[in-house]
Amino acid sequence: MFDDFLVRAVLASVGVALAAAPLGCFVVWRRMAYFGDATAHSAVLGIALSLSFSTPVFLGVLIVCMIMAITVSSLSERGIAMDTLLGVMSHSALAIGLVAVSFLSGVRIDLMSYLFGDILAVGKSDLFIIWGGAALVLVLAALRWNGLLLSTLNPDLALASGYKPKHEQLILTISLAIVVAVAIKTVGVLLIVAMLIIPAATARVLSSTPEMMAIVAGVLAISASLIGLRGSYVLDTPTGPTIISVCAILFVVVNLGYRLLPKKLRKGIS
Amino acid sequence: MVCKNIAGPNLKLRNVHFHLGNQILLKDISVEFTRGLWYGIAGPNGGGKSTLIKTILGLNNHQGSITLDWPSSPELEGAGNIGYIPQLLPFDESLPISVRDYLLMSLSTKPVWFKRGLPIEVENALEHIQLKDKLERRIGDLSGGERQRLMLATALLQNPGLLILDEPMTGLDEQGKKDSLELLNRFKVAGGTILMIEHDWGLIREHCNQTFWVDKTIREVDPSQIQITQAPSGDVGAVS
Repeated sequence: MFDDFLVRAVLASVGVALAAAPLGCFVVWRRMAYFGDATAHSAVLGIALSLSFSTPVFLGVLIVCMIMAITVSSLSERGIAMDTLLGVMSHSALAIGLVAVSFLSGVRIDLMSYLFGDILAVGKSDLFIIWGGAALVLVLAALRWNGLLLSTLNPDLALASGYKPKHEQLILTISLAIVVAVAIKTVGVLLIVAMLIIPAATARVLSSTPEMMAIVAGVLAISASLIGLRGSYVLDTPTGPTIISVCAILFVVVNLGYRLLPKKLRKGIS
Repeated sequence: MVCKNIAGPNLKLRNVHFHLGNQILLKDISVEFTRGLWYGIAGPNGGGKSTLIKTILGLNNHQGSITLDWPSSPELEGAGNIGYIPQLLPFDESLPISVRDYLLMSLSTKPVWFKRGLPIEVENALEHIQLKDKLERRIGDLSGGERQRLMLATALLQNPGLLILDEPMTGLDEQGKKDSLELLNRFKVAGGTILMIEHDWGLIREHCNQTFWVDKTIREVDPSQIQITQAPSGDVGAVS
């Protein structure tokens, strides 16, 4: 069954959607979209380093993303304005990564496949990494659910309830790096953040509790991935961008539908 | 909500110093707090009051030593637990976290994924603070006073020996203040230690056993000697 590239593509996109959606809810609640973008951009540097040291791309990306995310977190704690810091780090990492890739002599790489994903080229080992990473992120989110939510609501409040907001922030940062590393194959560096944010933002108007929002975001992300895969097969369009386009269409349709509902029926939370 | 015998700790700070970059926020703080007493902490805005209590809570990488000495008698409850009420801060109203979610998450270390019933003592506490009918309300939609009552109830339900309060009376109406102060008094009489940042000198005079002025350094002040220079807002501009 795993020999069919389409089956592998379906399994890979479902795995990424499962990990990205609940984490995306925290990215939306905590307004970390730009943070996610910066982490994802630094993945290009990770790709260049992995290729030059002949290590697995997943590992290189994971390490560089974690270093990036932890550096940003710790610098912002020292009072440097977060948006400026992210602007500097995000684009510097992308630019340095692209320069580093051009130095790689003797290696032919398809940069576009890393920037926008190449889900149809997912191999069995990639599937193992994607599902392993997704399971790890889901388990982390499930076990730390209370602390993550409370420190999202208010760090001081989390503290008042005996949680350590800095630990929770670190867990989110690590999870974000894992999702970026596993999602590179499916949607690529430039569209990962869309996979995190758009399903969560769509789920926001359809859910009244945090748990429900995470589940609805997961269902939406999986649906968008499957529709996008099928769409890209039929229309012969790039798969990653097609999946994100489906997410965007769902977002517009759901939000428009919600606005058109009579007020009484709007049980959502936006 | 308040136990009869509480294991309030003695607290000792020795030469505590904290800086952020080049800015010194706390300088050479040496002070002792004794169990079963209620301490007032006052000072100008930006003087380091909140920084001091966050340092005591172990959130700042400080220099110097902070020792908490908890009584070990088995009849006393709450040893090792610290209740903290942060300054009243606005919450994101779009966050789908209800009062019930908040209480469940605060009082249990097990992950709370879906709605469950609250323990009977929590239900009673909610009735006491008149929030029982607002269980399903989003926490961002509560009024300032309701939020502070919820914070105090949550802090007390965690069975603390030490309470650290950052302007706990903000937003409370007269009845809310009276009820909260009564609970805090019971906590103190039962042996709990209270550190409270407060701007209202009337309240400090009436309830605190000892008061400290924090403006980077710390010194004891006599609340009855305080001159109020900005009476309408209740802010204190100078100490005579």
